[in-house]
Amino acid sequence: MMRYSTRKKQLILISLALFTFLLIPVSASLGWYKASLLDILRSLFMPDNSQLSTVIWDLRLRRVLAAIVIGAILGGSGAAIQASMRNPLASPFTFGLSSAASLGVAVALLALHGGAVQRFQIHVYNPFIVSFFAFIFSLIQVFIILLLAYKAGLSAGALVLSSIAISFAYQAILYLLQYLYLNEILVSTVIFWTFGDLGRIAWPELCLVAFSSLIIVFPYFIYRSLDYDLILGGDELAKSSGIRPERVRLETTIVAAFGTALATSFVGVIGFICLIAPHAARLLVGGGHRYLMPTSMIMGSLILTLSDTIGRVIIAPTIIPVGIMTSLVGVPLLVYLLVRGGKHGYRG
Amino acid sequence: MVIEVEVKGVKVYYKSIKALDGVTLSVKNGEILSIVGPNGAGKSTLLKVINGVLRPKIGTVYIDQKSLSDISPREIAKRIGLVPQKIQLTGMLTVYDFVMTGRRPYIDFTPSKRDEEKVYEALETVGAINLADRSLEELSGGELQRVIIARALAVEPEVLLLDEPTNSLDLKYQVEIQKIVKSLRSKGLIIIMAIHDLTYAYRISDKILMLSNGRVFAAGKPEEVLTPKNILAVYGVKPLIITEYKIVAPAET
Amino acid sequence: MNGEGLTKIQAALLMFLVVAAAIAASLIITGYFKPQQDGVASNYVVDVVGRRVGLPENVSRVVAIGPGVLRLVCYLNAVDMLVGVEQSEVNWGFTGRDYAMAYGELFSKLPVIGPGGPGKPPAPELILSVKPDLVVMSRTYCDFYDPDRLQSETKSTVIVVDYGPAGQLDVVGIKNALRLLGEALNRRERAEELISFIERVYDDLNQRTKNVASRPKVYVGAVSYKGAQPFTTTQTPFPPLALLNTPSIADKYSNVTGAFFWDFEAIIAEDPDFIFIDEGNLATVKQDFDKDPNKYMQLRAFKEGKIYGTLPYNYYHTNIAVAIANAYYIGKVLYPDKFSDVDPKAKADEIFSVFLGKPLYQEYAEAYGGFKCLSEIFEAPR
Repeated sequence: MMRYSTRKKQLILISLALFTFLLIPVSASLGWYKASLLDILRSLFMPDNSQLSTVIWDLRLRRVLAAIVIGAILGGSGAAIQASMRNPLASPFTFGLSSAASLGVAVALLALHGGAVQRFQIHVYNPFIVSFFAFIFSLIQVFIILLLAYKAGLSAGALVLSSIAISFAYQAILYLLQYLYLNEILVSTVIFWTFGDLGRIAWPELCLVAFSSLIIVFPYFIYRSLDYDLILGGDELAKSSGIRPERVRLETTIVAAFGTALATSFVGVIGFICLIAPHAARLLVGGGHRYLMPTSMIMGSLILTLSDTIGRVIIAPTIIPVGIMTSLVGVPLLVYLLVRGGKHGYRG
Repeated sequence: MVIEVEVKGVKVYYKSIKALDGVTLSVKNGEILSIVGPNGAGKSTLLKVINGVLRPKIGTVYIDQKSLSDISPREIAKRIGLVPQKIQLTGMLTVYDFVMTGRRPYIDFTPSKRDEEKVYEALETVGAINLADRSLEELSGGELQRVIIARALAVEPEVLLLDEPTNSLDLKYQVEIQKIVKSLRSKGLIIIMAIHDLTYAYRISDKILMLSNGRVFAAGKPEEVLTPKNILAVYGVKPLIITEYKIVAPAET
Repeated sequence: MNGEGLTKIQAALLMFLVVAAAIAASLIITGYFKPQQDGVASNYVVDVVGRRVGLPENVSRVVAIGPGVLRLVCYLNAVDMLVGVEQSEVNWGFTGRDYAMAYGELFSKLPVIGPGGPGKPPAPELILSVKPDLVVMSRTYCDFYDPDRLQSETKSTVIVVDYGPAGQLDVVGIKNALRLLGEALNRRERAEELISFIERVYDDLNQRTKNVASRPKVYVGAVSYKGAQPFTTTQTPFPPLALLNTPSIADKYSNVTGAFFWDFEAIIAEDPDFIFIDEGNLATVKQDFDKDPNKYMQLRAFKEGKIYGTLPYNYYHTNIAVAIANAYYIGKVLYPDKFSDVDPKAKADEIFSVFLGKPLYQEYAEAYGGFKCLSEIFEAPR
């Protein structure tokens, strides 16, 4: 017996997924480099070594695919963290991931440049070093927070408090480094790096992120969907149903942090999606994670793809950074859904 | 099948304060046990010990002669259903989803047809089937309470623990719950209630356990436990007891 | 109420007097009521923010704070008057700032008179401790620190100087700044010498390039702007190119003067004949290239190896000497017949010698690569 509401949720989920995937060819055909629709289609299906193919595949399609994967990671992580912490304002970035990543970048630059002189040493340069440092520092950040929270019993409140404390500490260290050691050029490099940019990720990196999320991140969140519903009712209730909420919280934090840190280390910090996608999804399909989790992921993909495409196209040939666009796109979306949701009984 | 819940000599400490001291009780299937006592006497604590959420420092809980510590938390969750006093209301969960979380110990990946059926059955039993798609935050106190009971029932438990189940219910629903609890008893469930409404306890219970400062002050049949002497000693209030109607009220008007 | 302590009106009056006294005291302390300057000022100039500055007669102790002004002091051969430098001048190392490369050794022996760096407020106590006659302050510092306040705090004369927006070659601004500072530092002749050199160079470049049959399509990538930038950041217009009467492919898309960030696709669509890369960001571009060579190889200039390096010239304000040297190199690449008599490296040394008394090209080349073709670095992996 399929209830009407279940069918409605499934319909919404499928529509969103379809819309997002339709965006792929649409986004691939939009851009400064002009070409006929026929040529675009030909490049999509039979890529060769021409300029158009490179533009379509390396400069447009890759961004869209990155947006879909990373948007899903961010949306799903946001929903998972919010549920396990019972805090609708939590996100992986609440753990101070972005400050830790920036600190990692700063340290990497210091290590590579020796602080004072920018040497012309292309042999030393490994394109992955900066990303690697950003990733490692993010994970160290999360580890410290978990350690602190574990001492306090891994309650939702303890996690939030330790995150905020550590974030401030990292910010302070970062500013200190910038103030004392980094010259004008390196400081801006840190800023430039942390600015989210989907064009920065290359094919091997994208494959790594996609692979890891398909194997670890997405399956875990989907598997835990029912437990997230359970934890929402309270730790007492959860324990009485035979699961350990602290354990779920710990695992969720690790998985969400891993996915987010990986994505951030390659494309920089893209905020707002973790916060907005789950809320928008909730207004559409309600609070049950069986549908909320996949919808949050799709919503994240959708918002990020839309933001990146619009940012690329609207004042071409200049590109508006994706971090700015996510706010510009996300906020009206949320407002619209809140207003619409009010009439149908899903209050925000 | 005889199921017995036995709590032997349990001592529980909250930061070196004894919350429960040497509590012993025994309930058979088809029995309703009410745990009464003033606020802070340890009623909720005792319930948490019985379903394994709290581990006592000394003492054991046995269900069907098996110690709780020998049973996995998942198994315990299948056999004991908890109706807590309060739940957190966040995230716009629907009633259906909420009751489904009660089926967690039975679900590996996704809910099966059977899980769905049990959820609907439970909602029907408490008369809340029409609320299935409503969001928890929209429910009135009485509706929410019934839904929480439904969730415990969806567990298909052998033991039902209720923590102050009649708190936010009006008279009509108090009677409803009474009916539901009594029908569950006739199905063979063990029902243990922590309750402060002494009249209710008198009317519904087969046994009563009166706690005071974490200790068992009195145990036995309702008329044996709910005596003016006991109530005055434990509550510090002189009661008016009308045994014919099983009413317990303060003597002062 | 009367007779029991202060009435409400009395209390209010007392509060008012206390507050007024506090305000008056703070105003006096911060020098709002400016006392007349000590010492006889015989000469008045108007500095770049319109302040009427009375110059002390014999200036022999000078400090310079903020982007670009120490450079001007060095250009004007007034280094012997320096009695202190900003911390950043030593901390950052000398490479990349032409005046630091020339006089860095000297700087490290001088006492520190402030943190230095864009956006860092000056340190009046440190300046005070070296007792300068003149404090040369960058206009950008005035955005967050009042020069008059600094003047009273350092008990010295503060003159605010600037020579145009960072990264630009604002020739009017440069001339004015040189004349102003030349006046203040008693280097009038030197200032005029520099100004006429700049005018000659501008004229020379103009003559060589004004009548050219066809101008090639040029793009300058990874131009430094507030630090490291990727290949897709350029400057519109690009001053060395402007000196050569040659537009870059980005000029027509931008309506701002300054840094311009645009889409790689657009660069492919324009497909320039020549590409120059700011060697200050060469590593960034190389990184991106290594990750993703395919999109770069779609550009004709990369395929044909017509990629060349220019020296970075925007570091703590425009390195005027380097910018001009870049112009000669770019001219040589784009219009070889018009620049057949010019050896860019020698010309660069000539320019450095005029501005700073030393040939610095070799040092620049060792640090960044120098004027060369970069095709070997950007070879398609195969």
